[in-house]
Amino acid sequence: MRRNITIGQYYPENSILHRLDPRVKLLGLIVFLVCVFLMDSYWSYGAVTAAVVILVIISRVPLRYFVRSLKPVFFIIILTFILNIFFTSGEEILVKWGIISIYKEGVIMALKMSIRLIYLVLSSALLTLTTTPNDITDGMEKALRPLNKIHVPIHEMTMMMTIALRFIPIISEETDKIRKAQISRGADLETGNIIKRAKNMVPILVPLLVSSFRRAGDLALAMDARCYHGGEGRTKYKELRYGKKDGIAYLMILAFLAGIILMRNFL
Amino acid sequence: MSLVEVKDLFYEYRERDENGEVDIVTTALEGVSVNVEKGDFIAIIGSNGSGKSTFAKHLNAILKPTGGTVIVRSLDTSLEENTLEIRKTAGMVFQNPDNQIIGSIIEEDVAFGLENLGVPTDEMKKRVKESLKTVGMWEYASGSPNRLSGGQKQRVAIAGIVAMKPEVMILDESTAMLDPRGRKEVLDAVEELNKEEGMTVILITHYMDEAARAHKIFVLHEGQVKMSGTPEEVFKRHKELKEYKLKVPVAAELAVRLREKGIPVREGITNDDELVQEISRIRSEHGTGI
Ligand SMILES: Nc1ncnc2c1ncn2[C@@H]1O[C@H](COP(=O)(O)OP(=O)(O)O)[C@@H](O)[C@H]1O
Ligand SMILES: [Mg+2]
Repeated sequence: MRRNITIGQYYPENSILHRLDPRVKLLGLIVFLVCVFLMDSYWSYGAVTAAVVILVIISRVPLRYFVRSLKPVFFIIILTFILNIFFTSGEEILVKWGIISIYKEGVIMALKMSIRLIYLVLSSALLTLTTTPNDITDGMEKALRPLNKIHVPIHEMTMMMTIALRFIPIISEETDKIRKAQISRGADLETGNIIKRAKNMVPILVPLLVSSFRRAGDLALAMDARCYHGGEGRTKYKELRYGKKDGIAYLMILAFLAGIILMRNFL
Repeated sequence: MSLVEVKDLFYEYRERDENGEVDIVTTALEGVSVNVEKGDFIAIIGSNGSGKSTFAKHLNAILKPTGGTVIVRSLDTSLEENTLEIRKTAGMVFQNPDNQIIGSIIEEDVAFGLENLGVPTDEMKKRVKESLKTVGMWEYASGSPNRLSGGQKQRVAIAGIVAMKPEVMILDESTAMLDPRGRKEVLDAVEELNKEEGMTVILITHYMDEAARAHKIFVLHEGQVKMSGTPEEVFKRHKELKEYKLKVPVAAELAVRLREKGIPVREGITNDDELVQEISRIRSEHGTGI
């Protein structure tokens, strides 16, 4: 049933990764992404790989969820691999076949780029599998709150995310309903070239747009009626609080970053 | 002083054209006066477009009167500085269950109003739990609202209002999109709130059987209060109600007709169960002869 779709891919468990403060995990992800681009030596590849493996294991999320997260980008990874392998030139030719020649450097480059892409995806999956979208939103709101002082509307942005999280499943369900209703009236949505198919979307998009505007109006009214008046003076139901483990995790994240930087400069 | 005092309320919707000139004027309310006492359970009935929603929106300062006054707990809704206090006092439940739930976790949604009011976290936890228990939804607290039935969603919406501890709760056709079971769930919850917690309830509906549960009914037609009284008093005038495109519950109409035929059916019957009971009483007292 489409009713059950939720945003994100949260996997309920009670691992240490699940219990970490979302702010720690957000910083962890950023640091990790930086590290993926900083790694150059075999040592650093080894260190980052070890980190991925350890994190995946302690997350207690079954491996197939990580494999599934790679599926949407599988094609991009293959494409990157092929482009790199054929279009990187170097000195040591491995295979020569007509005008195509594969260099050793090309193979190494292809492997490096693919591994980077895979790690990028896996590390984001680590965050989304162990953190609910709500927690991610709350974490972002609290972590970015200081930006309020320079008039970045953090509260408004996170409120928009909260509302999006609530309404994306509803609207996607509605899209499905409208689509089926139009098909049952004989609308042809599947065949034809891109332009024709785009045109076919009109009978779905128009009612969807109309209903979304009505929803937005209703929601604004409901929020007003429940005394919503912006972020000022607002308290939070779930107030994020750091624990001891969060401090330790921050230290480990920084130590890891320092290690990778050192490897880059001295190995 | 009454909790809610509406006096000679006029309201005009003004639609403006591109130049900002008033283009179309729709008079939605024409001199409505309604008083609601603390602890009351009143129903407002009227056909589509009779002005029910427009009236409801005045009670928590979403709309400001064009003429006349609306006073809620001695606060005039036309003054900007009263708005927040009035919305705290008068909570509103709307029609569409999906479009009034803001949080993607039930307990977080119930907390939304409390967050806006700046209630401290500990107090908030307590109130969320209490109000979800009141409507019988506590066991779902950590779940997603998307998986609930319409009736359950409306009960969550009611919990969101109850948590803010308002003095009056307004339900604007909150059962219109529900199936019969959902409607009953919601009405039972509302009735219990009124009886147990003394919450003042203003129930807006076009279902007469729902209105029958109220202490007092106001009939709205073309922006005017045409009738008011207890459910029995109002349902007795079923011919007049038909002029306002309202249908009396079958049981109530049947009871009146039976009485007209000389069968001693008591007054004040508004639903099927009461009628069935009354008929079996008459049969046991008088036999099946009449
Ligand atoms: N936003 C609006 N703009 C213009 N006219 C409106 C608007 N909302 C309602 N009306 C008009 O005001 C009248 C009363 O509407 P409403 O209060 O929604 O009735 P009810 O809730 O009883 O169906 C109707 O004639 C309706 O067309
Ligand atoms: Mg209405």
